[in-house]
Amino acid sequence: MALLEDPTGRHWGYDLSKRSGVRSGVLYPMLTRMLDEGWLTDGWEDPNTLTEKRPPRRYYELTDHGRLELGSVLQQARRDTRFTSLFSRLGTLFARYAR
Amino acid sequence: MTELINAAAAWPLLLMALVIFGAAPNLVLRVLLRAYPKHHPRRRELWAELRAVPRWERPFWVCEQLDGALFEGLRLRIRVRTTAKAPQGTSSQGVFVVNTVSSPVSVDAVAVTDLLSDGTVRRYVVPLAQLGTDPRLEE
Repeated sequence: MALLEDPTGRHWGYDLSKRSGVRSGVLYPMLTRMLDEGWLTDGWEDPNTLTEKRPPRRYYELTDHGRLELGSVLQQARRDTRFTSLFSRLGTLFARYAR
Repeated sequence: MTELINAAAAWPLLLMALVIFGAAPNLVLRVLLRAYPKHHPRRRELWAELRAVPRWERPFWVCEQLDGALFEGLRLRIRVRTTAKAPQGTSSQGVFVVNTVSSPVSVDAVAVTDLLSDGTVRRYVVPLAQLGTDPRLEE
């Protein structure tokens, strides 16, 4: 869901783990699997564009295939009654966040 | 209250705080990253990500990397080491299958399956940067 909040944007590991609430120890292997499946592409920040003195970070971007697959996974989860309360809670959270 | 302030200002406590939130996360992360194979992108990635983590969160974030380093990094390192050498008395037939799409390591490396003279195969991982110079591919 954190990836689909900004489907065309660049995502960073720590940022993703914060937004999704997934521990980074779990998140990075998941990202690797998504890269292998072709759901994501990755790249490194251009060091020339960095304003602060820090190493370039690795970013992830959703591919068209990834957007479709993740969308369908989310659709299935929405239809699943086990996740109904979760989505309603997340909906309230996102609405509060958007305000 | 004064005692609490005095305790907080005591130099051993201050020193410990500096170590825990200052140098220790960097040092521990450097050690953990050694678990990953040499050219694995996670090494650079986690090192760069550490700068994005707020200082007070760093010790906890570094601890979170421990399981990743053990179960992902060390596993890959062992796999690379155990499959890198061809069994004695065999030689490559020059038939390689290079797999970049479902590489088990990363997009910066490729998994190579090499058919040996005795009919067996050996598998190893070559970083993309070394693809042209790896001696195993020139045998």
